[in-house]
Amino acid sequence: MTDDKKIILGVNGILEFITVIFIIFLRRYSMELLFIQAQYENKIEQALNVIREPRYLNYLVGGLVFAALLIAASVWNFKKIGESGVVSIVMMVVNIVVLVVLGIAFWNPIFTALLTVLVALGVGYAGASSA
Amino acid sequence: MNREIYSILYNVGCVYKGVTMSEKRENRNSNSWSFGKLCAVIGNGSEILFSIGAGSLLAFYLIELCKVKLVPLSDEIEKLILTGNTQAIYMGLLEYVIFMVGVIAILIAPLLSQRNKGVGIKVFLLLVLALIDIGGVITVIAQGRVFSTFILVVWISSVYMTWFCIGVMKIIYGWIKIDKEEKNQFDVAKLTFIWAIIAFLLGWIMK
Repeated sequence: MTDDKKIILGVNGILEFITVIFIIFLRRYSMELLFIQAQYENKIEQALNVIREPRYLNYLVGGLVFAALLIAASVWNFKKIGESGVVSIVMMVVNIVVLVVLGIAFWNPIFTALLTVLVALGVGYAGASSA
Repeated sequence: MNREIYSILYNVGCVYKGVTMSEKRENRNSNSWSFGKLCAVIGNGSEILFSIGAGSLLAFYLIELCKVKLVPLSDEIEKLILTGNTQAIYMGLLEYVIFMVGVIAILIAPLLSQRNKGVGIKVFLLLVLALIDIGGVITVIAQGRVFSTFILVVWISSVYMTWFCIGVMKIIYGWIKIDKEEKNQFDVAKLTFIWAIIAFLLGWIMK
């Protein structure tokens, strides 16, 4: 195995491991948010009362940082496909799966909206760099 | 006045860079206040320090502004929801989204004119920080108070934004030069254009 492949495996592996630990914590917190959302019918009221939870911004920042790292790593893998082949493709797919799991685990209006913008940015950047 | 401010900045830059008195005298003899020298003096390490300093001041101002402008919005939004006037919230949010998109686009435009390797990462980081800031602002409005995580987020993004702006200024400086080799030859039309934009922005802010 070449050095390039080892670096790709190491960086992606560490990132995915830390993200999975974060998702485990997030899932427990997300249950509280779902309970809050279930109490209101109006969508804006749901969003506002979720945001009013005192620890919300900590988890939001954490979630967005991990999502950004996963997207950046996926784009990096995408650019390395020519050099590293299958390893890059596998790691990119694993990153995307972890990203989807992160989105599902922390499903709330604000995070989902910001995550969508981040994903669009990542896809746009990957497209522009491959052109 | 301009000259004095410039001189202060130049001397601060010299202290950061460790420029000796004799070097300073030499610079003064040739032409002590060209922007190129200031750029040369504020190098990478100093650039980061300068960004931290100016970014911290900007963060302080922004946090104070948030306390004055955003915190009272919490009660107003509560009233709008109770009266069922959610359309007003959508309209208000849309205005701020347009404003944010405009600011970010202006910042990114000069950088995209250079097709360097690191540009994509810089722009991506700027956009990620802008998104986190948007999340923070929404949280402050909803909770009706400023808290530690928000302060940290604003501070980090202010420092990065300042560092980013220094990079943009360097690109603009390169753009207004007639000849890239000559230090003090500037295109007057481009300079006038930039002054017009600065005057417009200052007038708009001071109004």
